[in-house]
Parts: sequence; C-alpha cells; structure tokens
Amino acid sequence: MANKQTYLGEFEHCVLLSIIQLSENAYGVTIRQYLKKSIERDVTLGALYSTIERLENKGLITSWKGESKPERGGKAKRMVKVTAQGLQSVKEAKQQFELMWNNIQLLET
Amino acid sequence: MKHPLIAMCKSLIIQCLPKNINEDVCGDIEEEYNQLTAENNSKLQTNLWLIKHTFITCGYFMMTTNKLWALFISAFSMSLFILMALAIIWLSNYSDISAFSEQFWQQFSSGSLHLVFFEANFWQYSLQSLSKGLELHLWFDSTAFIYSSIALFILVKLHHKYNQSIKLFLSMSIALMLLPYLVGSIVLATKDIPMVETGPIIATMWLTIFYLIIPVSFQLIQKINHRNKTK
Repeated sequence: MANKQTYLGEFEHCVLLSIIQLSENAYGVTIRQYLKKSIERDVTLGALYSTIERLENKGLITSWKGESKPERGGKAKRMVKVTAQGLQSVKEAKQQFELMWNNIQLLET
Repeated sequence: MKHPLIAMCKSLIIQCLPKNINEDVCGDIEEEYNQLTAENNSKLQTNLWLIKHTFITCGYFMMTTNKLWALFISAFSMSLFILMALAIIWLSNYSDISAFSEQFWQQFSSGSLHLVFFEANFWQYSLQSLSKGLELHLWFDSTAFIYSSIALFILVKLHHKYNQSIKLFLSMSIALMLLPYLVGSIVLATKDIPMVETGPIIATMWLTIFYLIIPVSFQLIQKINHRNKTK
C-alpha cells in the first residue's frame, strides 16, 4: 500500500493553502488569523492542531520548533512547512476541482 | 506578573491536551491573548475570548471517540461490579425466602438468576445490608478465584504476545468472563439440584464476573489508549 492515494479533507485543504500562503511564518496563531482574515473562518486552536497533526502524519507537512518569545510565556513556536508531497496533493486537489467545475455556468455572473 | 486567568487556562490545557502539542497550544493562546490585550480590546472581552478558546480546545481533545469509549467502558464496568457486589451480599445474607414468590424461586434455582435484579426486595435488602458492615469471607470463592486468575493470565499473555485487536480482545474477555455463568446456568437448568446446594454454584457464577470485570476493563482501556497513541 505504498502508493495509497490520500484525499484531502476540506479543512485540511484550507490549512495547507494557508501554510503555503504564510510561507516562512506559518504556525498556530498566524494560520488561525489567516483563515479568519481570508475566508472568515474562526477556528479553535484545538481543531487547527488536530488537523496539523493529521497532515504531518500523512507526510504533507513538516514541523519544527521555532523561536520562543516572552509574549508566548517563553514557549517555542511550532513552525510548519508544506512538503513536496503536500504540494503535489494540493495541486492534484486543484486539478480535480477544476475538472469538476468545468462547464458549470450555473454560478457564473 | 503573570495574569492568574492565563495561568489557570494554561494549566487546564496542559492537563487535557496530548503532551506533544500542549506547550505549542499554550504558547499560541498566550500570544493571541497578549495581542488582543495590546489592541485595546476590553478586558472582559479578551478574558471571555481566552476562556472560550481554552474550553473549546480542551473539549475538542477530551471528547474524542476513543475517550468516550473509555468513559463508557469505565461506567459500565463499575456498574456491573457494584451490581455483582450487591448480588453477592444478597446471596450470602438473605434468609427471608417468603418475601419472594414461589414462581420466582423456581425460575431462580433453574438458572434464571437475572430475575433477581428485577425484584424490589432484592434492592431494598442489599442496599440496607451495606450499612450493616460486611464480612470478608463473602467475597472469596476458591473456584471463582482460580478460574479468574487463569482467565486473566491468558488474556494478559495473549495481549503481550500477539497484541490482538480491540474487538478480538473484547470478544475473548466477554467469553471468558461469561463462561462460568453460562455453564452454571446450564447446570442449574438441566440438573435437579436442591435449593440449598445452589448457593455455591451461583456464588461462583457471580464472583467470576466480580473478580474479572475491573482488571479486564482496565486492560481494554489501556489497549484503546495505546491504539490512540500509535495511530
């Protein structure tokens, strides 16, 4: 089952795109704020971290400990980055959506 | 000086969340809290934000399917343990046979032991007996003890050797726990045993469940937690 296809969930897709957009500054707070600012989705840190864990287990993102600041109570940031597999997965999802949207004029103004 | 509310919320997060992420979440929640405070939001609004996010985040990790299963198993096993304890108290001390109908005794002595739990007299007597103090010898039956020890040994050995699935472990546990009960019920139903001699058989049937239910549930919850960590 080495090449087992893993499909992205809707929220996983949003989180991966946020991480790509945030580039070098992607961690819990910034991802949460980006989701709120860009798609008005107010998610809890619990939901976000459980998705981050899942994405990391799937090999779609990687994480490491970042800097710790006094305003974080001295706790280090958990920085995240999309892996090559993650990028491929997002591209495939985009292509699939484009195919599904093809020739649908119902919602176009 | 650290705000006491943030300290309380962080300690709650540390208690409820898995070790590998609780520090990250604590740092993130404190950072956002400080950002909101710096943005001149009202103190009440910021504190409410903190409390809301702490509880939702903790609830998110506490109310997982596996944790709810563990909670259900604990509640069920404790209920069964208490039920068996009350049944043993009743069996060992009860002397007023006339309080139950003749039909009840006929069905009871022919193996339908569960009927006792539907009798008001049973609940009244066994709950009253709790306040009188109980003798230690009531809780010991050599046959049930030996059988339970062997059954538990088999379950633990198989768990360590083959690490069988939760479903298989659960099926084997139920089978081993209920085997003496089923055998006892068949014996009582098929053989004509005098009423006075049924007591030790019934004691073995009930005490086996009494001895096994807590350790088996503990093993089962450990398996569920282990699967949770390795997932």
